[in-house]
Amino acid sequence: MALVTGPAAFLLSLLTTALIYSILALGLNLQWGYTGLFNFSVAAFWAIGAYTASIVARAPNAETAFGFNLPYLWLDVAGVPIPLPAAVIVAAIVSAIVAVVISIPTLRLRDDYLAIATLGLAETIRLVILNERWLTEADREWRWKIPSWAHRWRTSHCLPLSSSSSCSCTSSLSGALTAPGVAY
Amino acid sequence: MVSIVQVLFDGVAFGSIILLGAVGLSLLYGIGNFANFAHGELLTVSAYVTYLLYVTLGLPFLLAGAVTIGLTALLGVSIDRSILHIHRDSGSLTKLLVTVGIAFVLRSLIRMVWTSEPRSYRLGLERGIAVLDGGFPLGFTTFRFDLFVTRDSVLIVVLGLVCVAIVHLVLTRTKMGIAMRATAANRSLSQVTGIDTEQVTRLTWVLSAGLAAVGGVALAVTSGLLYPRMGFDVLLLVFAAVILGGIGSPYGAMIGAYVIGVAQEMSILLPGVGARYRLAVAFVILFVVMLVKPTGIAGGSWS
Repeated sequence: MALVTGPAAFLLSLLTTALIYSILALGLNLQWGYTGLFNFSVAAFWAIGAYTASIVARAPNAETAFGFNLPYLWLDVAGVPIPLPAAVIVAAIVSAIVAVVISIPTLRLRDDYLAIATLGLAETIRLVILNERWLTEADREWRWKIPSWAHRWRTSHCLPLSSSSSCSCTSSLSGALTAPGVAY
Repeated sequence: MVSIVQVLFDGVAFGSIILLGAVGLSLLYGIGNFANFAHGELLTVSAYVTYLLYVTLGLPFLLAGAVTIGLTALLGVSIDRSILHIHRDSGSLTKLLVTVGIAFVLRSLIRMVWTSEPRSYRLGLERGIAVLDGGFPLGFTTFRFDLFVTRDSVLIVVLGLVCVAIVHLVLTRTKMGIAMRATAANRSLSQVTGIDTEQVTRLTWVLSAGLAAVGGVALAVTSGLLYPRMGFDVLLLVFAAVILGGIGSPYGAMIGAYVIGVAQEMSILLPGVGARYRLAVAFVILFVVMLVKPTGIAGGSWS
């Protein structure tokens, strides 16, 4: 990946964020659009995914993969390096499992009850992430190891939708959530 | 061993704050048929307006509080006239999302004016008054029944009861209150019988936002802290109280608020839960009520 600077870097960052949000929107569209079930906790599942990926993909010492200077992170399974997409898939699976578990009781609720219940759910997931430091280590050095040149492009942005977002924890959350290095 | 009496009192004191939010929210839910997600922000706005009047402008606290109630009621009515007015016939989910938008706008405005920095009324710490003091041995531990109260917490409990009484009198003794109950029961039928439902909605907003203002100031006084998320943080508790009491039933909401408040304080006693998951306890109650008895304890009735 070539280095990008100036306005192009800004546009790239903007586009990255836009594409991340579009993935979230696609997910909500599946739920709300096709089944009519309004889900307030999209951002919470987003957080679960981000934290799962960062937990399973504890970066080994090497920042770059196989000396190719690729900004990929590697999942270290018993010394065997597995690329980032594997972490993403694990994140998706964990998020899906949580969703299935939660859906069993919630799907008996209707419109605004479902909205309120999913809001409560999102808040609970946020509480778990903030409180269970041993698992998430939200504000420590345990983040993704991003190549140093990538820091210049990092913008601080908030998550959409109330629940996990725009709170006092924005900095730590966005640190963990924007990091899964799609295009940094 | 923590004193049970103390926990109960703290629960009732905190429940009184939830109550002030819950009664207004329940009224709006019944009459407007939507969940007002901006209700938490009404609490926040009122706390910050009092901050502006009391700390920045130096008005006496009670005067600042009274002016805040008026201004918040005005804000409520203007939200209704400007935005929700358009959505009278929209579905409940659409209205819900509109109020989420309003909540974001209000919270961002607060951030713009007062920043995210926590603030305080600087009222000074109060010394608790020992009402009860003692205990007796019970097995391996001692059963304590100490009770320390602060003047503020007693005042808030009284204030909550006064507000409940006012709402009760409005709903049962005034023509407008009876019209409000009629509108909540059946909007179109009320219109046919000549009730001005627009005016009813307006008055509901005045009442609801006024109660939220009292609750917001009470919350800021008891927690001693103002921050942009303060209202949103208690919103889930308020919703839990409303749903526990039965949507649209202000009397149910009153009981629900006390139950949630006490349950929250009780959760501290549970090993492994602790204060960090207080909010989750309210969520569990909310969830169980939704699944087991969705109509709440009052079953949607008004008496």
